[in-house]
Amino acid sequence: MNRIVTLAATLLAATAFNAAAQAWPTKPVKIIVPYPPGGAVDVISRKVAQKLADQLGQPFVVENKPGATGTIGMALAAQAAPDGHTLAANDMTYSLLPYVFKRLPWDHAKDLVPVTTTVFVPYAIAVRADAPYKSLGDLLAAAKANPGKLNYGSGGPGTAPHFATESLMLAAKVDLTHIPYKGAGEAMTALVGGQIDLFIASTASLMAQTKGGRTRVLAVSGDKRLAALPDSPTFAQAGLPGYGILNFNGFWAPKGTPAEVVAKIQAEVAKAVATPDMVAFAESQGGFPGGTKPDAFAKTVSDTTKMWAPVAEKAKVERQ
Amino acid sequence: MDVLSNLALGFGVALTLKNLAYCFLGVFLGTLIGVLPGVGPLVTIAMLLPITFGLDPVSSLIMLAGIFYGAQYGGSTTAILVNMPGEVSSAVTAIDGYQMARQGRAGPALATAAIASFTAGIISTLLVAFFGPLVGKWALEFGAAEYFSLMLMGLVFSAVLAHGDLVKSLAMVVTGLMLGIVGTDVTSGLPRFSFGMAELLDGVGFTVVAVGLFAVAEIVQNLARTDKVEVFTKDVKNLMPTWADLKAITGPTMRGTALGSFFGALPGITASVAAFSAYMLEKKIAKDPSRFGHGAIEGVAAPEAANNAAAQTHFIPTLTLGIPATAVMALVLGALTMQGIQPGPAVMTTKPELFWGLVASMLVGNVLLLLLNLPLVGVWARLTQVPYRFLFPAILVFASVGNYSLNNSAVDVYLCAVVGVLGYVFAKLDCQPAPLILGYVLGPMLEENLRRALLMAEGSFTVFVTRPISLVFLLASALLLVAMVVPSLRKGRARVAGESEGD
Repeated sequence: MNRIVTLAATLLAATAFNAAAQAWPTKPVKIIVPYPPGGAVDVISRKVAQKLADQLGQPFVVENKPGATGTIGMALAAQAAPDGHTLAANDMTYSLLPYVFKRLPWDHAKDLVPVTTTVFVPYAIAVRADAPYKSLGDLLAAAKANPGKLNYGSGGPGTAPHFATESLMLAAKVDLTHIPYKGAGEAMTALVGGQIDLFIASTASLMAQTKGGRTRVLAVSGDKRLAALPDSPTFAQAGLPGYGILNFNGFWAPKGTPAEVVAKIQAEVAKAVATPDMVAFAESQGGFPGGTKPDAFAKTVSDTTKMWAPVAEKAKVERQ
Repeated sequence: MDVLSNLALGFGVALTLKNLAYCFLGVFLGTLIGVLPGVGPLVTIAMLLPITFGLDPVSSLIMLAGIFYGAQYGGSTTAILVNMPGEVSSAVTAIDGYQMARQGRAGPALATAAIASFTAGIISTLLVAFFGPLVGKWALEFGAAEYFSLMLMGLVFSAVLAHGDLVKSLAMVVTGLMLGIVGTDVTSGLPRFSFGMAELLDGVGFTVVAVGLFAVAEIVQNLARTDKVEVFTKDVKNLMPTWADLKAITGPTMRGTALGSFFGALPGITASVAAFSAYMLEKKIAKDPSRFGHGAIEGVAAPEAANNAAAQTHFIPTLTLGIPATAVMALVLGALTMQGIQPGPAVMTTKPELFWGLVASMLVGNVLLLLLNLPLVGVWARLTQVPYRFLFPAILVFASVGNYSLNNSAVDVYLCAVVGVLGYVFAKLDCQPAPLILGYVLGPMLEENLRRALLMAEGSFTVFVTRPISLVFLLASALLLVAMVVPSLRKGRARVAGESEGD
């Protein structure tokens, strides 16, 4: 009797598995956002979720599971059934986690599979509009002349702007003082108010104040100028080749999600982010739409993760 | 006057049938979610965000703003009725509002909250209209040193004001400070008192502390009683405030509005700080401070005025500078960005209908809220006549739902239960929760800004006296200390003895 039940269960599971592989989604899809509502990851995920729901006729539900730099939500996603009906959303912060925490509740390299990107947003360096630094060269010269005198802001130790600036300090061989704030928004306010000298962040966070004439972007990542910030050179043009940070937003799936399902999710997301209003949204932030193939995204994630190793060592980030 | 013609333009936008409808929808939703703890404007606005893409920018801004300040009205309802603050900033209202409800004065308390919120809302919105851009620029002058000195002044105020058992008050402040320290240290990024729990890395949420300390502890206390004393008196006098009540709340409402407008304009200061300051000020200048905590109507009017005023002036840095004062404001900015509008100083000149339309809609919205809330007072007040054996399970369910929805995490519910037990112990030891909340709110801000200011000044303490705004706050604190301590030293002994007998 028991054996028959087991057999039936196995068969049932196998059919369900096959059905999932061929037809996804068969039920509402949950996208876990490991941050509070309203952040960059949350907003882009909700926009993409709505597009996917329209395209596929199933609800795509964004669920915020914030806490502990996103590790609570990511750990939950890692434990979910690998059938494509639970996804996790995150950004470049994911690549920093191994350097911020002594121990993560899931295997960072294995338990979550990168599926695809939604949007890329380059990092840029900004100073207050009335600061004496007209170019990146001016700023770096001032930093070299007064080691440790210039202050930079971040949303806290172990956040992307913190690592990005420490990485710049390595590349440009300068010494800046870190002033941590509670979140990038507070750091941005401090930059506008003249409390800190510079702030390196995604163009999405810098755009409004730069367009409003309160901050000046001295250089942007990437190999060409941005249409949204035509006056700002690239880091290479500004005299710092080899420096550049591209923030990625994307989706992850639990390990064991069938490759066909992963491919289908990627194809649908790529379609969603290529619609005109999504492209326009990405460009208004200084970014460009994603839709990357799973293997390419996986390489981006692992390369970026490796890139931070020397930075974390230099910044002497003490792990939690 | 220029502002008047601009306001006329604004009313032209806000009074169209469509925008009136969105304004009403916003304040109605806000009132509803304000009642539930945890389910705040942040979650609601995030969920509604995709819907706003289809609306035109003015309508969506009017609706989102309505949700935000509407929640400040709704939050006081449960705070007064069942000692459960629906919004963070209503925690202060609970202290005296709930006592009023127990004495059969739920109606006047609720009406006072609505009237004070309304008055504050109208006045502070006019402040936004007339002085918005000016104040916005000034608020930017506030850096770490200024915030530190401001917080210090707040602490000095409260230390001076502490009455009753000084040792117990101090112990509660310190307990609050310790609670506030839990979580990741902003400066070093290392966890403190998190006991290896990932859920504690972001600290203990305000809703968890406030609901546990006020609502849960109160329920346990009531159930622990063996005598047949009713929680709420059956003797309900009147639903609306009397003339004497109205006269008593005029001053507190105006002072609360002033404090709330000031704090709201500063990015980085929440409405709860404003509400607390207003409460402390009233307690200080009251002829008989011992009435506070036992159903003083001023203790409802002042914090309610302050938190609603702050809710309106939060829009100053948001709209005139494009700098969000709070997470909710960041979301509102996000909504504008997605509509292709770059918030910032340019908005007022390039999109005057947006700024002035919103300002006008805030005036309209406050009127709508008053019309919505005053008739409801009778309905709500009847809630206190529900037998307690039905009421308390419902309160606990709402408290749990609210705490869960905060982070979609069950841990917050357990934490709230733990805080509830603590709250019961405190009550048995005759320790007031207010100083604890104060330490919990001000402590982390004080520490963070102190360390940040010192980091920027390379460890030199002179930064606090060389920056003029900071110096003014420090001097004010020092003056206050001297002014208060000298006379109280003289007659201190006699008064302390008298008070402990009075309790």
